[in-house]
Amino acid sequence: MARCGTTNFNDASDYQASIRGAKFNIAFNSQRAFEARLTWLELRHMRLLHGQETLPRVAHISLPLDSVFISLPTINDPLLIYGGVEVLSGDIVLHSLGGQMHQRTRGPSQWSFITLALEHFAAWGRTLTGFDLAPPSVTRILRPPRLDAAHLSRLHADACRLVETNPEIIAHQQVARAIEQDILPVLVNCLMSNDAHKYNASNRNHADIIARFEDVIAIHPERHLQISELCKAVDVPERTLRTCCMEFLGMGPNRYLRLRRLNMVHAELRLNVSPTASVEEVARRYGFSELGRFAALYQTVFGEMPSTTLRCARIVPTRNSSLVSETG
Amino acid sequence: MRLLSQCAIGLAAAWRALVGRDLTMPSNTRRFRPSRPLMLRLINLHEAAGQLAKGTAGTSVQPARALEQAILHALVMCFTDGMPDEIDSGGRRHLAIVALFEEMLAANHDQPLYLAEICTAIGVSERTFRFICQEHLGMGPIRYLWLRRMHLARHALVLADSTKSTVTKIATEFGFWELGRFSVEYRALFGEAPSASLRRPPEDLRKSQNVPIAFADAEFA
Repeated sequence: MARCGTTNFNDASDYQASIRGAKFNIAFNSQRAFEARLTWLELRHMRLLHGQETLPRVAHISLPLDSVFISLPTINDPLLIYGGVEVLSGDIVLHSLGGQMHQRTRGPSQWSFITLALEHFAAWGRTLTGFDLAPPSVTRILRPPRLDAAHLSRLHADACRLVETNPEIIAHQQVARAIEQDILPVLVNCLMSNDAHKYNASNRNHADIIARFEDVIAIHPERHLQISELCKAVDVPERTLRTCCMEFLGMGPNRYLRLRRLNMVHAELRLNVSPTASVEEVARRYGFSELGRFAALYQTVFGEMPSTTLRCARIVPTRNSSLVSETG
Repeated sequence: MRLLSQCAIGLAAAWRALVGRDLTMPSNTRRFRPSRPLMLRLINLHEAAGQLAKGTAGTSVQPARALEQAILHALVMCFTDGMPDEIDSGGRRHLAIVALFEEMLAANHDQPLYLAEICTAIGVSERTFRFICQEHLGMGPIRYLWLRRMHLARHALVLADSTKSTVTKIATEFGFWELGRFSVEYRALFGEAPSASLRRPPEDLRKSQNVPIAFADAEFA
Protein backbone atom coordinates (compact mmCIF):
# COMPACT_ATOMS: atom_id res chain seq x y z
CA MET A 1 0.00 0.00 0.00
CA ALA A 2 1.20 3.50 -0.77
CA ARG A 3 2.32 5.65 2.11
CA CYS A 4 2.22 9.39 1.90
CA GLY A 5 2.26 12.51 3.99
CA THR A 6 2.51 16.27 3.96
CA THR A 7 3.89 18.43 6.72
CA ASN A 8 4.19 22.17 7.23
CA PHE A 9 7.24 23.49 9.06
CA ASN A 10 8.18 26.75 10.68
CA ASP A 11 11.61 25.64 11.73
CA ALA A 12 14.44 24.73 9.40
CA SER A 13 16.04 22.09 11.61
CA ASP A 14 12.78 20.15 11.86
CA TYR A 15 12.39 20.52 8.14
CA GLN A 16 15.80 19.18 7.18
CA ALA A 17 15.54 16.34 9.70
CA SER A 18 12.25 15.27 8.09
CA ILE A 19 13.62 14.89 4.59
CA ARG A 20 14.11 11.16 4.31
CA GLY A 21 15.98 9.25 1.65
CA ALA A 22 18.74 11.84 1.30
CA LYS A 23 20.66 13.78 3.94
CA PHE A 24 20.08 17.51 3.73
CA ASN A 25 22.30 19.99 5.51
CA ILE A 26 20.81 23.41 4.99
CA ALA A 27 22.41 26.78 5.68
CA PHE A 28 20.23 29.89 5.70
CA ASN A 29 21.35 33.49 5.74
CA SER A 30 18.28 34.21 7.76
CA GLN A 31 15.49 32.09 9.12
CA ARG A 32 13.10 34.87 9.98
CA ALA A 33 9.66 34.00 8.61
CA PHE A 34 10.81 30.55 7.60
CA GLU A 35 8.03 28.38 6.30
CA ALA A 36 8.24 25.16 4.37
CA ARG A 37 6.13 22.26 3.32
CA LEU A 38 7.31 18.77 2.59
CA THR A 39 5.15 16.31 0.67
CA TRP A 40 6.13 12.74 -0.01
CA LEU A 41 4.58 9.70 -1.58
CA GLU A 42 5.94 6.18 -1.49
CA LEU A 43 4.65 4.04 -4.31
CA ARG A 44 5.59 0.43 -5.01
CA HIS A 45 9.01 1.07 -6.57
CA MET A 46 9.06 4.83 -6.73
CA ARG A 47 9.19 7.67 -4.24
CA LEU A 48 8.08 11.24 -4.92
CA LEU A 49 9.30 14.15 -2.84
CA HIS A 50 8.32 17.78 -3.08
CA GLY A 51 9.61 20.69 -1.02
CA GLN A 52 8.36 24.27 -0.90
CA GLU A 53 10.31 26.92 1.00
CA THR A 54 9.98 30.64 1.55
CA LEU A 55 13.66 31.63 1.99
CA PRO A 56 16.89 31.53 -0.02
CA ARG A 57 19.41 28.98 1.21
CA VAL A 58 22.09 26.51 0.24
CA ALA A 59 21.80 22.80 1.07
CA HIS A 60 24.53 20.22 1.04
CA ILE A 61 22.79 17.01 -0.02
CA SER A 62 24.30 13.55 0.37
CA LEU A 63 22.55 10.90 -1.68
CA PRO A 64 22.39 7.21 -0.76
CA LEU A 65 24.15 4.48 -2.75
CA ASP A 66 21.10 2.29 -3.30
CA SER A 67 18.71 4.80 -4.92
CA VAL A 68 18.72 6.89 -8.05
CA PHE A 69 17.66 10.50 -7.60
CA ILE A 70 16.20 12.59 -10.39
CA SER A 71 15.48 16.28 -9.90
CA LEU A 72 12.44 17.32 -11.83
CA PRO A 73 12.12 20.27 -14.15
CA THR A 74 11.02 23.55 -12.70
CA ILE A 75 8.32 25.05 -14.91
CA ASN A 76 7.30 28.62 -14.04
CA ASP A 77 9.19 28.33 -10.73
CA PRO A 78 12.38 30.11 -9.67
CA LEU A 79 15.45 28.26 -10.90
CA LEU A 80 17.57 25.98 -8.74
CA ILE A 81 21.35 25.96 -8.79
CA TYR A 82 22.94 22.52 -8.67
CA GLY A 83 26.68 22.29 -8.24
CA GLY A 84 27.15 25.92 -9.18
CA VAL A 85 25.22 25.51 -12.43
CA GLU A 86 21.82 27.11 -12.86
CA VAL A 87 19.42 24.42 -14.07
CA LEU A 88 17.21 26.06 -16.66
CA SER A 89 13.45 25.72 -16.75
CA GLY A 90 12.49 22.35 -18.25
CA ASP A 91 15.84 20.65 -17.58
CA ILE A 92 16.08 17.59 -15.36
CA VAL A 93 19.03 16.45 -13.27
CA LEU A 94 20.04 12.80 -13.13
CA HIS A 95 22.20 12.60 -10.03
CA SER A 96 25.19 10.34 -9.68
CA LEU A 97 24.71 7.39 -7.35
CA GLY A 98 25.69 8.20 -3.77
CA GLY A 99 26.77 11.63 -4.94
CA GLN A 100 27.03 14.87 -3.01
CA MET A 101 25.86 18.19 -4.26
CA HIS A 102 24.95 21.70 -3.31
CA GLN A 103 21.47 22.82 -4.15
CA ARG A 104 21.08 26.56 -3.92
CA THR A 105 18.06 28.85 -4.19
CA ARG A 106 17.78 32.62 -4.51
CA GLY A 107 14.37 33.13 -2.95
CA PRO A 108 11.14 31.25 -2.38
CA SER A 109 11.58 27.94 -4.11
CA GLN A 110 10.13 24.56 -4.93
CA TRP A 111 12.06 21.41 -5.69
CA SER A 112 10.98 17.91 -6.62
CA PHE A 113 12.66 14.54 -6.68
CA ILE A 114 11.71 11.18 -8.05
CA THR A 115 13.62 8.34 -6.42
CA LEU A 116 13.89 4.79 -7.66
CA ALA A 117 15.75 1.93 -6.02
CA LEU A 118 18.78 1.09 -8.14
CA GLU A 119 17.55 -2.35 -9.18
CA HIS A 120 14.17 -1.00 -10.27
CA PHE A 121 15.76 1.86 -12.14
CA ALA A 122 17.83 -0.68 -14.11
CA ALA A 123 14.90 -3.05 -14.63
CA TRP A 124 12.41 -0.40 -15.79
CA GLY A 125 15.09 1.17 -17.95
CA ARG A 126 15.78 -2.17 -19.63
CA THR A 127 12.06 -2.88 -20.09
CA LEU A 128 11.22 0.47 -21.59
CA THR A 129 14.33 1.16 -23.64
CA GLY A 130 15.65 -2.31 -24.41
CA PHE A 131 19.05 -1.62 -22.87
CA ASP A 132 20.49 -1.06 -19.43
CA LEU A 133 19.95 2.37 -17.99
CA ALA A 134 22.72 3.11 -15.50
CA PRO A 135 23.01 6.10 -13.20
CA PRO A 136 25.91 8.27 -14.34
CA SER A 137 29.20 8.51 -12.47
CA VAL A 138 28.98 12.30 -12.81
CA THR A 139 25.66 14.14 -12.37
CA ARG A 140 24.03 14.98 -15.70
CA ILE A 141 21.71 17.84 -16.59
CA LEU A 142 19.35 16.70 -19.34
CA ARG A 143 17.08 18.67 -21.60
CA PRO A 144 13.97 16.66 -22.58
CA PRO A 145 11.55 17.91 -25.24
CA ARG A 146 9.51 20.75 -23.78
CA LEU A 147 6.21 18.82 -23.75
CA ASP A 148 7.75 15.76 -22.06
CA ALA A 149 9.35 17.91 -19.36
CA ALA A 150 6.04 19.68 -18.73
CA HIS A 151 4.16 16.37 -18.67
CA LEU A 152 6.55 14.84 -16.12
CA SER A 153 6.42 17.95 -14.00
CA ARG A 154 2.62 18.01 -14.13
CA LEU A 155 2.23 14.34 -13.16
CA HIS A 156 4.53 14.84 -10.16
CA ALA A 157 2.76 18.03 -9.11
CA ASP A 158 -0.70 16.45 -9.51
CA ALA A 159 0.30 13.42 -7.43
CA CYS A 160 1.73 15.64 -4.67
CA ARG A 161 -1.38 17.82 -4.73
CA LEU A 162 -3.47 14.68 -4.28
CA VAL A 163 -1.40 13.78 -1.21
CA GLU A 164 -2.10 17.24 0.20
CA THR A 165 -5.80 17.39 -0.61
CA ASN A 166 -7.13 13.86 -0.87
CA PRO A 167 -4.77 11.30 0.70
CA GLU A 168 -7.56 8.70 1.02
CA ILE A 169 -7.53 8.27 -2.76
CA ILE A 170 -3.79 7.49 -2.70
CA ALA A 171 -4.48 4.61 -0.33
CA HIS A 172 -6.39 2.91 -3.12
CA GLN A 173 -4.14 0.22 -4.58
CA GLN A 174 -5.14 0.91 -8.19
CA VAL A 175 -4.42 4.61 -7.76
CA ALA A 176 -0.89 4.03 -6.44
CA ARG A 177 -0.25 1.64 -9.30
CA ALA A 178 -1.68 4.07 -11.86
CA ILE A 179 0.40 7.01 -10.60
CA GLU A 180 3.61 4.96 -10.84
CA GLN A 181 2.70 3.53 -14.23
CA ASP A 182 1.67 6.95 -15.57
CA ILE A 183 4.99 8.46 -14.51
CA LEU A 184 7.32 5.64 -15.61
CA PRO A 185 7.21 5.93 -19.42
CA VAL A 186 7.35 9.72 -19.30
CA LEU A 187 10.30 9.62 -16.89
CA VAL A 188 12.28 7.07 -18.88
CA ASN A 189 11.56 9.03 -22.04
CA CYS A 190 12.92 12.20 -20.41
CA LEU A 191 16.03 10.35 -19.20
CA MET A 192 16.87 9.44 -22.79
CA SER A 193 17.34 13.13 -23.63
CA ASN A 194 20.58 14.84 -24.51
CA ASP A 195 22.73 16.74 -22.05
CA ALA A 196 21.76 20.37 -21.63
CA HIS A 197 25.03 21.20 -19.95
CA LYS A 198 28.31 19.36 -20.08
CA TYR A 199 30.40 19.79 -16.99
CA ASN A 200 33.82 20.77 -18.31
CA ALA A 201 37.22 20.10 -16.73
CA SER A 202 37.09 23.35 -14.72
CA ASN A 203 33.58 22.55 -13.37
CA ARG A 204 34.69 19.10 -12.34
CA ASN A 205 37.86 20.41 -10.73
CA HIS A 206 35.83 22.91 -8.72
CA ALA A 207 33.31 20.20 -7.77
CA ASP A 208 36.22 18.08 -6.48
CA ILE A 209 37.49 20.98 -4.39
CA ILE A 210 34.05 21.60 -2.88
CA ALA A 211 33.62 17.90 -2.15
CA ARG A 212 37.00 17.87 -0.32
CA PHE A 213 35.98 21.06 1.50
CA GLU A 214 32.76 19.36 2.73
CA ASP A 215 34.77 16.29 3.73
CA VAL A 216 37.09 18.43 5.86
CA ILE A 217 34.11 20.13 7.53
CA ALA A 218 32.45 16.75 8.15
CA ILE A 219 35.43 15.56 10.24
CA HIS A 220 35.01 18.39 12.78
CA PRO A 221 31.66 20.01 12.03
CA GLU A 222 31.64 21.84 15.36
CA ARG A 223 35.11 23.37 15.14
CA HIS A 224 35.86 26.93 14.18
CA LEU A 225 38.34 26.32 11.37
CA GLN A 226 40.74 29.06 10.35
CA ILE A 227 40.82 29.73 6.62
CA SER A 228 44.53 28.88 6.42
CA GLU A 229 43.89 25.57 8.14
CA LEU A 230 41.06 24.82 5.70
CA CYS A 231 43.12 25.65 2.63
CA LYS A 232 45.87 23.37 3.84
CA ALA A 233 43.47 20.50 4.47
CA VAL A 234 41.69 20.93 1.13
CA ASP A 235 45.06 21.57 -0.57
CA VAL A 236 44.10 24.68 -2.56
CA PRO A 237 45.10 28.33 -2.47
CA GLU A 238 42.69 30.59 -0.58
CA ARG A 239 41.71 32.44 -3.73
CA THR A 240 40.62 29.23 -5.47
CA LEU A 241 38.67 28.05 -2.44
CA ARG A 242 36.88 31.38 -2.26
CA THR A 243 36.01 31.24 -5.97
CA CYS A 244 34.63 27.72 -5.60
CA CYS A 245 32.59 28.65 -2.53
CA MET A 246 31.08 31.66 -4.25
CA GLU A 247 30.21 29.48 -7.24
CA PHE A 248 28.68 26.53 -5.34
CA LEU A 249 27.48 28.07 -2.08
CA GLY A 250 26.80 31.64 -3.04
CA MET A 251 28.93 32.88 -0.12
CA GLY A 252 32.52 32.79 1.15
CA PRO A 253 33.89 29.84 3.17
CA ASN A 254 33.96 31.66 6.55
CA ARG A 255 30.37 32.71 6.34
CA TYR A 256 29.26 29.27 5.21
CA LEU A 257 31.06 27.56 8.10
CA ARG A 258 29.66 30.05 10.59
CA LEU A 259 26.11 29.48 9.35
CA ARG A 260 26.51 25.72 9.50
CA ARG A 261 27.74 25.88 13.10
CA LEU A 262 25.03 28.34 14.01
CA ASN A 263 22.41 25.95 12.61
CA MET A 264 23.83 23.16 14.75
CA VAL A 265 23.63 25.30 17.89
CA HIS A 266 20.05 26.19 17.01
CA ALA A 267 19.10 22.54 16.47
CA GLU A 268 20.69 21.53 19.77
CA LEU A 269 18.98 24.30 21.73
CA ARG A 270 15.67 23.65 20.08
CA LEU A 271 15.68 19.95 20.75
CA ASN A 272 17.09 20.50 24.24
CA VAL A 273 19.78 17.89 23.55
CA SER A 274 21.70 18.63 26.76
CA PRO A 275 19.04 19.56 29.34
CA THR A 276 21.53 20.97 31.86
CA ALA A 277 23.75 22.95 29.50
CA SER A 278 23.58 26.74 29.32
CA VAL A 279 23.48 28.69 26.05
CA GLU A 280 27.07 29.71 26.65
CA GLU A 281 28.28 26.13 26.99
CA VAL A 282 26.53 25.02 23.81
CA ALA A 283 27.80 28.04 21.88
CA ARG A 284 31.34 27.45 23.06
CA ARG A 285 31.16 23.79 22.02
CA TYR A 286 30.43 24.95 18.45
CA GLY A 287 33.34 27.36 18.32
CA PHE A 288 31.58 30.61 19.33
CA SER A 289 33.84 31.98 22.01
CA GLU A 290 32.42 35.52 22.26
CA LEU A 291 28.93 35.18 23.66
CA GLY A 292 27.81 38.76 22.87
CA ARG A 293 28.70 38.52 19.17
CA PHE A 294 27.21 35.05 19.02
CA ALA A 295 23.87 36.22 20.46
CA ALA A 296 23.66 39.12 18.00
CA LEU A 297 24.45 36.86 15.04
CA TYR A 298 21.96 34.28 16.29
CA GLN A 299 19.23 36.87 16.52
CA THR A 300 19.94 38.11 13.01
CA VAL A 301 19.59 34.62 11.59
CA PHE A 302 16.80 33.14 13.69
CA GLY A 303 14.89 36.23 14.78
CA GLU A 304 15.05 35.32 18.48
CA MET A 305 17.64 35.20 21.26
CA PRO A 306 19.33 31.81 21.86
CA SER A 307 18.02 31.86 25.43
CA THR A 308 14.45 32.15 24.09
CA THR A 309 14.96 29.07 21.89
CA LEU A 310 16.24 27.10 24.87
CA ARG A 311 13.49 28.31 27.21
CA CYS A 312 10.77 27.33 24.72
CA ALA A 313 12.34 23.92 24.26
CA ARG A 314 12.39 23.30 27.99
CA ILE A 315 8.78 24.39 28.46
CA VAL A 316 7.35 22.45 25.50
CA PRO A 317 9.52 19.33 25.07
CA THR A 318 8.54 18.62 21.48
CA ARG A 319 7.74 21.86 19.74
CA ASN A 320 7.27 20.03 16.52
CA SER A 321 5.76 20.78 13.17
CA SER A 322 2.56 22.74 13.08
CA LEU A 323 0.61 20.30 10.99
CA VAL A 324 1.30 16.65 10.47
CA SER A 325 -0.79 14.42 8.34
CA GLU A 326 0.21 10.98 7.36
CA THR A 327 -1.66 8.26 5.60
CA GLY A 328 -0.68 4.72 4.87
CA MET B 1 -21.86 -8.67 -35.68
CA ARG B 2 -22.21 -9.52 -39.32
CA LEU B 3 -21.42 -12.87 -40.84
CA LEU B 4 -20.42 -13.20 -44.42
CA SER B 5 -20.13 -16.66 -45.87
CA GLN B 6 -18.58 -17.09 -49.21
CA CYS B 7 -18.42 -20.03 -51.53
CA ALA B 8 -14.84 -21.31 -51.13
CA ILE B 9 -14.23 -21.73 -54.84
CA GLY B 10 -15.49 -18.24 -55.68
CA LEU B 11 -13.33 -16.71 -52.95
CA ALA B 12 -10.25 -18.69 -53.99
CA ALA B 13 -10.69 -17.61 -57.60
CA ALA B 14 -11.19 -13.99 -56.68
CA TRP B 15 -8.20 -14.15 -54.32
CA ARG B 16 -5.97 -15.51 -57.09
CA ALA B 17 -7.14 -12.88 -59.49
CA LEU B 18 -6.71 -9.96 -57.11
CA VAL B 19 -3.69 -10.96 -55.03
CA GLY B 20 -1.83 -13.12 -57.50
CA ARG B 21 -1.29 -15.90 -54.98
CA ASP B 22 -3.28 -18.94 -53.99
CA LEU B 23 -5.52 -18.61 -51.00
CA THR B 24 -4.76 -20.94 -48.12
CA MET B 25 -7.71 -21.33 -45.81
CA PRO B 26 -6.76 -21.11 -42.14
CA SER B 27 -7.18 -24.22 -40.02
CA ASN B 28 -8.41 -22.07 -37.13
CA THR B 29 -10.59 -19.01 -37.34
CA ARG B 30 -8.47 -15.95 -37.82
CA ARG B 31 -9.23 -12.39 -36.91
CA PHE B 32 -8.34 -9.47 -39.13
CA ARG B 33 -8.24 -5.83 -38.35
CA PRO B 34 -8.39 -4.04 -41.70
CA SER B 35 -8.07 -0.32 -42.19
CA ARG B 36 -11.18 1.65 -41.45
CA PRO B 37 -12.10 2.81 -45.00
CA LEU B 38 -11.89 -0.77 -46.29
CA MET B 39 -13.92 -2.07 -43.39
CA LEU B 40 -16.56 0.61 -43.87
CA ARG B 41 -16.80 -0.24 -47.54
CA LEU B 42 -17.37 -3.90 -46.74
CA ILE B 43 -20.00 -3.05 -44.14
CA ASN B 44 -21.82 -0.70 -46.52
CA LEU B 45 -21.86 -3.31 -49.26
CA HIS B 46 -23.12 -5.89 -46.81
CA GLU B 47 -25.94 -3.59 -45.82
CA ALA B 48 -26.77 -2.86 -49.45
CA ALA B 49 -27.03 -6.58 -50.06
CA GLY B 50 -29.36 -6.88 -47.11
CA GLN B 51 -31.58 -4.12 -48.53
CA LEU B 52 -31.57 -5.81 -51.91
CA ALA B 53 -32.58 -9.15 -50.41
CA LYS B 54 -35.37 -7.59 -48.35
CA GLY B 55 -37.09 -5.47 -50.96
CA THR B 56 -36.71 -7.07 -54.31
CA ALA B 57 -37.55 -10.68 -54.91
CA GLY B 58 -38.06 -10.42 -58.65
CA THR B 59 -35.38 -8.01 -59.83
CA SER B 60 -32.84 -8.95 -62.41
CA VAL B 61 -29.69 -10.80 -61.47
CA GLN B 62 -27.42 -8.06 -62.77
CA PRO B 63 -27.36 -5.79 -59.67
CA ALA B 64 -26.99 -8.80 -57.40
CA ARG B 65 -24.05 -10.03 -59.40
CA ALA B 66 -22.38 -6.64 -59.42
CA LEU B 67 -22.85 -6.46 -55.70
CA GLU B 68 -21.37 -9.90 -55.22
CA GLN B 69 -18.29 -8.90 -57.16
CA ALA B 70 -17.96 -5.71 -55.20
CA ILE B 71 -18.27 -7.56 -51.90
CA LEU B 72 -15.74 -10.16 -52.98
CA HIS B 73 -13.30 -7.47 -53.95
CA ALA B 74 -13.76 -5.61 -50.68
CA LEU B 75 -13.43 -8.81 -48.69
CA VAL B 76 -10.16 -9.82 -50.30
CA MET B 77 -8.84 -6.31 -49.82
CA CYS B 78 -9.77 -6.47 -46.15
CA PHE B 79 -7.89 -9.73 -45.68
CA THR B 80 -4.79 -8.61 -47.49
CA ASP B 81 -4.70 -5.04 -46.20
CA GLY B 82 -1.55 -4.26 -44.29
CA MET B 83 -0.17 -7.76 -44.73
CA PRO B 84 3.14 -7.97 -46.55
CA ASP B 85 3.36 -10.33 -49.50
CA GLU B 86 5.67 -12.61 -47.56
CA ILE B 87 5.80 -12.35 -43.78
CA ASP B 88 9.45 -12.08 -42.77
CA SER B 89 10.84 -13.25 -39.44
CA GLY B 90 10.42 -9.74 -37.95
CA GLY B 91 6.78 -9.80 -39.05
CA ARG B 92 6.29 -13.22 -37.49
CA ARG B 93 7.83 -11.96 -34.25
CA HIS B 94 5.47 -8.99 -34.34
CA LEU B 95 2.50 -11.30 -34.84
CA ALA B 96 3.68 -13.43 -31.92
CA ILE B 97 3.89 -10.30 -29.75
CA VAL B 98 0.40 -9.26 -30.84
CA ALA B 99 -0.85 -12.74 -29.90
CA LEU B 100 0.77 -12.47 -26.44
CA PHE B 101 -0.67 -8.98 -26.03
CA GLU B 102 -4.15 -10.20 -26.97
CA GLU B 103 -3.79 -13.08 -24.50
CA MET B 104 -2.83 -10.63 -21.80
CA LEU B 105 -5.79 -8.40 -22.63
CA ALA B 106 -8.12 -11.39 -22.50
CA ALA B 107 -6.71 -12.63 -19.20
CA ASN B 108 -7.20 -9.16 -17.69
CA HIS B 109 -10.37 -8.29 -19.57
CA ASP B 110 -11.82 -6.22 -16.72
CA GLN B 111 -8.55 -4.91 -15.26
CA PRO B 112 -6.47 -1.86 -16.18
CA LEU B 113 -3.13 -2.60 -17.83
CA TYR B 114 -0.15 -0.31 -18.30
CA LEU B 115 2.64 -0.01 -20.84
CA ALA B 116 5.62 -0.88 -18.62
CA GLU B 117 3.83 -3.88 -17.13
CA ILE B 118 2.94 -5.21 -20.55
CA CYS B 119 6.47 -4.70 -21.88
CA THR B 120 7.85 -6.57 -18.85
CA ALA B 121 5.35 -9.41 -19.14
CA ILE B 122 5.83 -9.90 -22.89
CA GLY B 123 9.55 -9.14 -22.86
CA VAL B 124 9.44 -6.47 -25.55
CA SER B 125 10.97 -3.02 -25.54
CA GLU B 126 8.69 -0.01 -25.47
CA ARG B 127 10.00 1.09 -28.86
CA THR B 128 9.16 -2.21 -30.58
CA PHE B 129 5.82 -2.41 -28.83
CA ARG B 130 4.94 1.12 -29.85
CA PHE B 131 5.78 0.29 -33.46
CA ILE B 132 3.64 -2.87 -33.35
CA CYS B 133 0.72 -1.00 -31.81
CA GLN B 134 0.91 1.66 -34.49
CA GLU B 135 0.97 -1.07 -37.10
CA HIS B 136 -1.87 -3.18 -35.71
CA LEU B 137 -4.04 -0.78 -33.76
CA GLY B 138 -3.40 2.46 -35.59
CA MET B 139 -2.43 4.26 -32.38
CA GLY B 140 0.29 4.21 -29.74
CA PRO B 141 0.04 1.81 -26.79
CA ILE B 142 -0.43 4.51 -24.17
CA ARG B 143 -3.42 5.90 -26.03
CA TYR B 144 -4.84 2.43 -26.68
CA LEU B 145 -4.49 1.39 -23.03
CA TRP B 146 -5.98 4.68 -21.92
CA LEU B 147 -8.98 4.26 -24.25
CA ARG B 148 -9.34 0.71 -22.98
CA ARG B 149 -9.45 1.94 -19.39
CA MET B 150 -11.96 4.64 -20.34
CA HIS B 151 -14.24 2.02 -21.88
CA LEU B 152 -13.84 -0.27 -18.87
CA ALA B 153 -14.77 2.62 -16.61
CA ARG B 154 -17.77 3.46 -18.79
CA HIS B 155 -18.91 -0.13 -18.76
CA ALA B 156 -18.63 -0.25 -14.97
CA LEU B 157 -20.40 3.12 -14.59
CA VAL B 158 -23.37 2.06 -16.69
CA LEU B 159 -23.67 -1.30 -14.94
CA ALA B 160 -23.20 0.08 -11.42
CA ASP B 161 -26.06 0.83 -9.08
CA SER B 162 -26.03 4.61 -8.67
CA THR B 163 -27.30 4.32 -5.10
CA LYS B 164 -24.39 2.12 -4.05
CA SER B 165 -21.44 3.32 -6.12
CA THR B 166 -19.82 6.65 -6.94
CA VAL B 167 -17.94 8.02 -9.94
CA THR B 168 -14.83 8.45 -7.76
CA LYS B 169 -14.91 4.83 -6.68
CA ILE B 170 -15.22 3.51 -10.22
CA ALA B 171 -12.74 5.97 -11.78
CA THR B 172 -10.05 5.13 -9.21
CA GLU B 173 -10.73 1.41 -9.70
CA PHE B 174 -9.54 1.86 -13.30
CA GLY B 175 -6.56 4.00 -12.41
CA PHE B 176 -7.96 7.48 -13.03
CA TRP B 177 -6.58 9.47 -10.14
CA GLU B 178 -7.05 12.99 -11.50
CA LEU B 179 -10.82 13.11 -11.23
CA GLY B 180 -11.27 16.54 -12.78
CA ARG B 181 -9.33 15.51 -15.86
CA PHE B 182 -11.19 12.18 -15.99
CA SER B 183 -14.55 13.95 -16.13
CA VAL B 184 -13.44 16.29 -18.90
CA GLU B 185 -11.92 13.50 -20.99
CA TYR B 186 -14.87 11.19 -20.36
CA ARG B 187 -17.29 13.81 -21.58
CA ALA B 188 -15.16 14.50 -24.65
CA LEU B 189 -15.03 10.79 -25.49
CA PHE B 190 -18.58 9.67 -24.72
CA GLY B 191 -20.56 12.89 -24.91
CA GLU B 192 -21.94 12.67 -21.40
CA ALA B 193 -20.70 13.23 -17.86
CA PRO B 194 -19.57 10.14 -15.93
CA SER B 195 -22.29 10.87 -13.36
CA ALA B 196 -24.91 10.68 -16.14
CA SER B 197 -23.59 7.25 -17.17
CA LEU B 198 -23.80 6.11 -13.57
CA ARG B 199 -27.42 7.25 -13.27
CA ARG B 200 -28.45 5.58 -16.54
CA PRO B 201 -30.08 2.14 -16.11
CA PRO B 202 -27.84 -0.78 -17.10
CA GLU B 203 -30.03 -1.93 -20.01
CA ASP B 204 -29.00 1.23 -21.82
CA LEU B 205 -25.54 -0.19 -22.32
CA ARG B 206 -25.28 0.14 -26.04
CA LYS B 207 -22.41 -1.07 -28.08
CA SER B 208 -19.72 -0.20 -25.56
CA GLN B 209 -19.36 -3.94 -25.00
CA ASN B 210 -17.88 -4.16 -28.44
CA VAL B 211 -14.62 -2.54 -27.49
CA PRO B 212 -12.64 -2.44 -30.76
CA ILE B 213 -15.48 -0.87 -32.77
CA ALA B 214 -16.09 1.69 -30.05
CA PHE B 215 -12.35 2.43 -30.00
CA ALA B 216 -12.42 3.10 -33.69
CA ASP B 217 -15.45 5.37 -33.30
CA ALA B 218 -13.73 7.39 -30.64
CA GLU B 219 -10.54 7.60 -32.63
CA PHE B 220 -12.18 8.84 -35.79
CA ALA B 221 -14.90 10.95 -34.25
